[in-house]
Amino acid sequence: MQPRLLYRLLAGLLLAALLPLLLLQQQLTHHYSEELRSRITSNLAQLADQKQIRLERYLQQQLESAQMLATLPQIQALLAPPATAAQPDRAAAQFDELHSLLVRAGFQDAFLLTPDGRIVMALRLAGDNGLNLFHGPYKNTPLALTAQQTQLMLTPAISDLEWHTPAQNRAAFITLPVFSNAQLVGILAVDIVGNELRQLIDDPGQLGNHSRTLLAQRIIDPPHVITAQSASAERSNILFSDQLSQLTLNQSTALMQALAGQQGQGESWDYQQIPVVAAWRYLPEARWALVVDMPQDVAYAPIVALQQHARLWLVIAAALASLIALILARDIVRPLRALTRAVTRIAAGDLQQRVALERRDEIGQLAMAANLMSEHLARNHQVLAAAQAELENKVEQRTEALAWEKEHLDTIVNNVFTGIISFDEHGRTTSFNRAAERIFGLTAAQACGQHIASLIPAAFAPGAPYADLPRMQTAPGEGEEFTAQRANGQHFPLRLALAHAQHAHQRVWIASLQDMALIRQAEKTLRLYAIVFQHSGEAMLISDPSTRVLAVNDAFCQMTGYAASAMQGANTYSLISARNSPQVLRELRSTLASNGFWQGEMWLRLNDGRDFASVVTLTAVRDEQGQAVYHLVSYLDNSERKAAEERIAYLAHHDALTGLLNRLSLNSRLAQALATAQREEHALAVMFIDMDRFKQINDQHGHAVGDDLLIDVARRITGIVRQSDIVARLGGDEFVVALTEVERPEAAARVAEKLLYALAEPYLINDHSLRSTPSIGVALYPSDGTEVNELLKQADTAMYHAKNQGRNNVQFFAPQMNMLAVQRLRFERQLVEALDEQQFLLHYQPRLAGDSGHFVSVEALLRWQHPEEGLLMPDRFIQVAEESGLILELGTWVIDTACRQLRAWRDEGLQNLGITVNLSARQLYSPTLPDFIQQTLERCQLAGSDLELDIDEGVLMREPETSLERLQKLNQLGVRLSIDNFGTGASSLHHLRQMPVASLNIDQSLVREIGQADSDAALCKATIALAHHLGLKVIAEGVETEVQRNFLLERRCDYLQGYLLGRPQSAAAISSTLRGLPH
Amino acid sequence: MHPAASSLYRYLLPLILLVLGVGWLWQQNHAVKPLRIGFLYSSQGPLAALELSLLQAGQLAVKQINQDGGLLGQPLVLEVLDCPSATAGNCARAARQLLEHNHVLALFGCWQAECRQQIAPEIERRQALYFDITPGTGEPGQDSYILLGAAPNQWLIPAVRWAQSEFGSRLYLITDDTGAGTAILGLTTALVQQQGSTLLGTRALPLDLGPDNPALQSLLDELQTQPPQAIINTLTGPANQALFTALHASSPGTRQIPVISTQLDNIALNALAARQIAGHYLVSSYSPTLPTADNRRFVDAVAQLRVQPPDAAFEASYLAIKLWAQASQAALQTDAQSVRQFLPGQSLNAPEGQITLHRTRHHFWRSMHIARIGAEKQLELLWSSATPVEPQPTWQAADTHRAAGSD
Repeated sequence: MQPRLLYRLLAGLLLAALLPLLLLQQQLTHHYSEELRSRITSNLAQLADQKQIRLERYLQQQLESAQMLATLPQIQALLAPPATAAQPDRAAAQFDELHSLLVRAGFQDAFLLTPDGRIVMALRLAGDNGLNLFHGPYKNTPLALTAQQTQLMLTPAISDLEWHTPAQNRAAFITLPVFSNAQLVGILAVDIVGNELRQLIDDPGQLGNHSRTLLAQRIIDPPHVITAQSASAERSNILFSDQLSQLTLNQSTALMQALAGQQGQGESWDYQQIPVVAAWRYLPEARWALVVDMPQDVAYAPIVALQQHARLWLVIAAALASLIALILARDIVRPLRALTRAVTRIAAGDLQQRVALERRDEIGQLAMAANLMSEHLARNHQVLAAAQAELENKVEQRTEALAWEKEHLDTIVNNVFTGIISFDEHGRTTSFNRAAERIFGLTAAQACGQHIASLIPAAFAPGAPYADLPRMQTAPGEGEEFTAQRANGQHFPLRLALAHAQHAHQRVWIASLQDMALIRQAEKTLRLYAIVFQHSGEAMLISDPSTRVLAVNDAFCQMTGYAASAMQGANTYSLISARNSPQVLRELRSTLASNGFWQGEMWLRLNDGRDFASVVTLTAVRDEQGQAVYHLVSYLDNSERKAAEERIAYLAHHDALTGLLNRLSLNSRLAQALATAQREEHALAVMFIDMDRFKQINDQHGHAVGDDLLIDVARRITGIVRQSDIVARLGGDEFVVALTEVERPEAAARVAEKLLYALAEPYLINDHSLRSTPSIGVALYPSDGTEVNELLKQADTAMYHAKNQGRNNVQFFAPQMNMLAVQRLRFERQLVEALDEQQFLLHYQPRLAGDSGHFVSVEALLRWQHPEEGLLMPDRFIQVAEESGLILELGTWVIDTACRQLRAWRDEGLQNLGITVNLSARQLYSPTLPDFIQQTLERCQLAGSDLELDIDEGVLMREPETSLERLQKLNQLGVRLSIDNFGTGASSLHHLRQMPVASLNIDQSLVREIGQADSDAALCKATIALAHHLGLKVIAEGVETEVQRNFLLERRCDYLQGYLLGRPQSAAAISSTLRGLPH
Repeated sequence: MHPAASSLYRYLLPLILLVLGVGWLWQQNHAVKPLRIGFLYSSQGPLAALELSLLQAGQLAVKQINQDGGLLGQPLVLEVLDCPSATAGNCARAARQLLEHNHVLALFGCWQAECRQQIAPEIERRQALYFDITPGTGEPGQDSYILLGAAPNQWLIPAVRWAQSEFGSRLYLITDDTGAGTAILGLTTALVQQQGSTLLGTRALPLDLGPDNPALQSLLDELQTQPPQAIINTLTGPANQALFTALHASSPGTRQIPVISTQLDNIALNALAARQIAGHYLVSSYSPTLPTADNRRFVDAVAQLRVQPPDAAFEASYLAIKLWAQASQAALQTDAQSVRQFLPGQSLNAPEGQITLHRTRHHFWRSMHIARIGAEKQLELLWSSATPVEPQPTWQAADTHRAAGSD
């Protein structure tokens, strides 16, 4: 205790003295350092700004002097074309003059170029004259690229730094345009890296030799940074001598910041990762970075010195303060110590003790008070001590006896399992033992004082059997069960017995309780386990240790076929098949004995005598002494083996490398597909694919690469064909593809073509780009064969044919198929060209009104002027156009051309003429059709009613809802709509009535039959009648005989068209025909 | 409890609570407030689609800045106002609202010439910061803003010179009929004459040029009667669509005249069929095919917006906000006056490469590219400038050379 006060006093005094001192010192040093830092930074920034301005001015001056030179007559003369050039000696003189002018201007080197890059003059090396900078070996030098830029942009530029042999230095050229009468006549390039630039870099400014200047440029290819440094230790004659690999530089260094175009100042690192204070700037003109820096250890040296001084003074001050504090503290603590020692002794009972202190201050007065106090204490102490000793002795003896008795009783009551509650005549609970606490979940403190009826209402509440108990004279029969409630609200069965005791005038009731919940729970659990066992999906058996069966479950009976009753008492060994090796049984017995557990495969003998493979688990159930009392046996169906078998089956049917079908399954799948094709009467194509030069790849790159290539081939093939098609690998590089559903042989050709292109793409394997092309042979069912082997053989033959044709192509087994496929592909290409080359034209066929016989309109019919095959009818090419998607563009062209033709005719004076155009399915379903027709009509200044659109009946009925919507839009434009080829498709009359059509076209085939077969003439008649009934006009097409015309006119057919009335003709021809006809 | 300890807690606990409370109040008062900048765009008119893409570019820039932790520790909010029709005179009102009501720190967008004319007095009165993203045309008044587009000498000279050297000296010029078009016409006429070429004809077409516009037919007639060797096309927006469609559908002679476009945007390019545009040329400061890592990241980010690939105008709109943010970062302030001081000489790591704002002029030092439009509308770079080209707002430089040269 004593030393603490001294230390606290010492510490407090020291702190009070030193803390302000320390804070003051910190504040001053911090302030001074910040001041110095900001001054150094701003000095560096100032220097950097100065240098930047000087560098800019330097570049500007160089540009200006070069621009001045560019206007000199000497330069203009050198650039003049040879014909008008001055005499040779005059030229030589001018050359010399220019030479000296350039040298005087301070340029290290200069070039004069014509606009197309020829060097007219080179300052350093006259030998360069005549060399072309834009096309020769120098065309990719920075100078050439910059000169070319100047040539195109007419703007001066500064080239990247490069090694320039004639100057024995790095050079950067300003390239600037030379104009004569504002026209570009040449380009002047001058080297600006010279002594003046070096001085600029070297100038240390007011910061002296500690600062360093760095000028740098980033070169893209190869990536590096070129730098020039001031005051570098090893000074070379070459400016910009240092090259830094850009990749090693930290992005946050001042240099990299400047190279990225940023400017700033502050603490950073130089390119050697030395901490520096730096300022950095960027010159966009030359893409130069300027860094002015100073190592931090030099710049911050005064700060370090100041900090060291301050620390020394602080130590001295601390030493002095400690000394003073020690003296002061001891003066206070010493008398206190003497006083404390004396009072401690008094407290310890030495009442004769006195304090000897001769002081008048607070401590002296305290000492005198202590002396007085100890005298009083000594007197009182003697009297009290004697009385107390006697009393204490008596109390102690009595207490001990009672405590022992109470403890004895409590131990009994609290350690019985039965809950014991006592309550008085009023039913108030007076005691509650530990067992009762456990049963009710209440503490004795909570329970005491409660009415017994609130604890066990079922027994004591009004109306319950023992409601009047507290007033009864004798105890009722014992051992009745009631339901009670625990503190947590849980109900539980309770067994209650009552007894009473008389004490003085009071009677006390004792209730002893037993919690029946655990017993009930155990019964329930037992029932559950029995059910689980009986209905478990797993076959189970329980036996005693002498292997006598005690129970089996349902699953066991189901699996083995034994009845449960038959198994009762049987020996478990009777279940074990003789097929098991004796070793398994030995192992079972020994493992079970040692571990109490065994699992393994075992054959079981079933009721019907079969052997059954099963996984058997045997578990010994032990009692508390560790003796096995039961054995639990469970049996599992061994199904994993089945999965393994399936896997083997898969491997047998598939190629292990690619996962495609193998030869074996190809044959069976192909046979199936052929049967289907036969039944459903469609074609089938078998393709034999062989990868060219695969063996070479294998030899050259190894089998692993070859295998990867084959996997890629398989992936590409399966990516192209349909899911339902068959793809197989026969081994090596041979693949077979069978297209199981082929509409037409051309479709097979299309797929083959796709495969050819896809498989000929380069293969990227292990970073090798490998090239292998396929040779494909195709055989078709049923034309080339109907048997599997026959088709395969013929596809193989065709494939060899493809190999002989120079590989990388497709060949059909049937030669004419090759022709067909090629022709169709060519036809598609030609169609595309035909649109661009404007090979399509329209012919027009007149249409006459039935009643007046006057000519009312023309039908526009599409023709293709094929460059080789002559004029083609639509039936030759429309299908190809539809399939290739060109139909939309073609249809647009037809409508546009027809409308424009009509406009032309109108302008020629054919006023009451209409035009009919056929609309294809794709066009009808194109959402832009109505807008396009509206625009076309407006452009040609035609009314909607001038145009009639013929739409095939079958097309309309394909999507009746969309058709209706489209037709309504067209109808709103006023366009007349007509159903073409009526009578060939199965029109629903319901839809027909809804469609806003104006007329029906009777199909040519119906008209042609008039006068030949009565039935069709009847159909023709019926159609006309139906149309008139619906309020539609009727147009008969293909009228070729007088008989037909008369028949139709008799039936009041509204319009007629056909060879009899006029053939389709070109626009020019028809217009003269029309003039002749009445209209 | 020890009496000394109890007195310690009696004073120390309230003291700590007091310090915490004061700190919390201070925090509340200095909670992070967002920085607001304004974007004007026009949702109607022929250039609506283009304007929307420029807005998306701006939003992309703001999103990226916020993802990188905002500007000076504060999130950036782009206040967008629509002046639905630039011609109706409501852009001035919108600009006023942004500047006075929303207190935006800088203004962006406002792509159409009419819009800029309207907001000019508002900007001038408040000394506000506005970043113009259109290409420089030497129009009067344009140089009072920072211009993110290429300067006239950067795009027009190479277009004319390339046409001249590749195809011949008989040229034809197509402009739009706004003030910008007039300015371009003046610059081009002077340049073509200086370079000894002939301008066979010029035509100003409206911005909303439709396929039926009679001006198109008379343009085709003019091209047919006196075919030029190349056409310089400075049209922007959907007018390009009508122009190229008409050219492609015209006679074979006219169809083959090479067109060198300077402001063909990717919306128009997308709308055109490949065969209508393939084989023509484009002069631009930006192409999505530039092979730098920055550009690839930018193109990927744009691809995530599900818009067409970025073009020069899109990049300019994106860069405008990046430029302002970078200058603000350098200034450690966001008020117009401070930012303006830090703008000259700012370098940006732009998708097109490193570009640096000229210290005295309002354009960037930047590299230019000439590309051919390939068979699948992809841009094939034919020529790129070796170094960034210094911007010159007018032909003054060329004029001095002429004056000097004729001495």
